Amino acid sequence: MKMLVVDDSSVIRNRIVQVSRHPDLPDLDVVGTARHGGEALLLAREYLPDVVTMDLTMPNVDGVACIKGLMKISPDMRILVISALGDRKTALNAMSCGAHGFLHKPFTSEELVEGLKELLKD
Amino acid sequence: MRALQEQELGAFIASVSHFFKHATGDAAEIRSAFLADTDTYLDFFDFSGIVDVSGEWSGSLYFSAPRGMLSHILLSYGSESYTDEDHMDLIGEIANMFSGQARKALGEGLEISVPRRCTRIAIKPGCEPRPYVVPLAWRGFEAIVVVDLKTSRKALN
Repeated sequence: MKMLVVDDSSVIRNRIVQVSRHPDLPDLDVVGTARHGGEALLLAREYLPDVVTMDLTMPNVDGVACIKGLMKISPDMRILVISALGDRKTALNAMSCGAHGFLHKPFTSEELVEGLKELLKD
Repeated sequence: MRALQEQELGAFIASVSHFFKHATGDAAEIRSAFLADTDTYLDFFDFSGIVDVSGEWSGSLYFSAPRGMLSHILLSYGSESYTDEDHMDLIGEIANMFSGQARKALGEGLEISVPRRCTRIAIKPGCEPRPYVVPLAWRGFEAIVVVDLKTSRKALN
């Protein structure tokens, strides 16, 4: 399964890529990383990822606007929001736009593996 | 317009402590918070992340830390790169996580900006309300969080 990683922090992007190589996630293949929503939409059109990890607070196009754009490209895309904004309103808003899961920063490797496994299970 | 109250600051400080424990496995020792002296400049560490706040609150949240502390956190994150750029990136991301926690503590009416990042700064705190300085220690390194928030006019309307 093709995965796209979207986060304005290179440290976080690299960490997600690293965790995606976990033995419990053998089917995941990171096809691209993006620093903001605009870049993510370009990459999504090119690679049509099955799975996307999505930050919310980003410059240019933010996470919620990007999720809406991704849903127009492919409504079957499965999106895991990974954000520092852990309040209920933010989570509900992201889910109502098309996200399938929500992981709060800071996260452990184990939490991310579990979050991605849940996403792939559905 | 009112300043941050002790109970609100307490909820935020608890979340700062939670970050270190959850992200690295080691809790930070949070020292007593104090009000910044408005007559003198507040010296920051090597790298600082700043998140501006709007909505029902206005002001900024700062997290400032020395290079060594950030290098250790990068190591905990499994990073393979330790450039200045990586340290700058991380400090902004941590400030972003703290502001996310502040939103949880202070309510969803608190809107936060994308973090700004800078090296070696000194700020002269605004007059009233005076910002809180929260010193902390983690694995032998000192750092500070500065909480410069007050309710905005929007909250009063």
